[in-house]
Amino acid sequence: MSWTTRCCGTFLLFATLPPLAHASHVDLVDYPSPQANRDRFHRLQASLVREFDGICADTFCEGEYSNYRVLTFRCAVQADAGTVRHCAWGIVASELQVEPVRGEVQVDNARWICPVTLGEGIPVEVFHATLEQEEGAFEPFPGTDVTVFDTLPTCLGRPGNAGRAA
Amino acid sequence: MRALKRGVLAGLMGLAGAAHAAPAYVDARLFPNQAAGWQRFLAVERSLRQSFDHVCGDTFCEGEYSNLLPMRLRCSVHAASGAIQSCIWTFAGSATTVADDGRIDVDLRSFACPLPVATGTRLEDFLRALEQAQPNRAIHVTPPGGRISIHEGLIGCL
Repeated sequence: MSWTTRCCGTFLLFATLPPLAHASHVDLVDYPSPQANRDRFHRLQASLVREFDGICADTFCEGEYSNYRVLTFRCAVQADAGTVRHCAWGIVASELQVEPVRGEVQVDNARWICPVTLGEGIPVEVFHATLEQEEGAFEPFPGTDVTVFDTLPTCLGRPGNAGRAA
Repeated sequence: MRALKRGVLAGLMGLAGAAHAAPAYVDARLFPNQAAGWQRFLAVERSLRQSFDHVCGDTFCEGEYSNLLPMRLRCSVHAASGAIQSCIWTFAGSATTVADDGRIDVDLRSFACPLPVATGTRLEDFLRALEQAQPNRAIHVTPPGGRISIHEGLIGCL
């Protein structure tokens, strides 16, 4: 890496971080007030899980596991602006195999945390409206080319060792 | 004649090798064979999963991980005797928080829980005991020859 790129990369990092660090964020469930968005968000989460289950086997779940499951999908909202800045999928899988000589059941539990980055942010209402469309998980958010599924093929292609160990 | 002897000898050695290669332990879904074992075992796994979901909210899911999910149950069986060697039931759960600075902390946890099955328990007896329970009660079954129920066995694991 040249000095110039190191300079500019560092600059961009500092240029980006302070607004994030100083802005107050809340869970989308808790926007605009604690638990206020709970029901709508849980309906959204259930819908995303259904869409994930519907296409998983033929797409990003063609890896070494046969039971990928979404455990959680959560989002951070910049409270003052009312925009969703990023989200995270928590996905797990578990494969068990019988060792034929000694009879141990061998365990391979895998975990992935997959981020969804939304740049400057998507207004909360627009975020919900996009994902509440039919097959909304495949729809890019307005003004972007980002969908909530974009990150999954690459993320689930990595070794599944994120999260806390079993 | 010598060639024939060599051929017979090689054939016998091949048979011995094949016998040696037969697994001592198999997945319970394949015992006594796939046709008889597969659907039967998966039906018992479904009952256990259903009964876990039934009790989860008031028990295991009241702790650090409120969304515990049963992932997979598998047992190993001694192929010659039909005795269970080991059963493992896996689970996963998560706890997520959003920090004031926007950071999303996702704690994903996996569990591998051995079932309380006594040494020498026949798979047939184990499956029959679970099949006799109501699907939403299967987790409360004490495996034949055992001292504690499957539910009690999970308490120390989850």
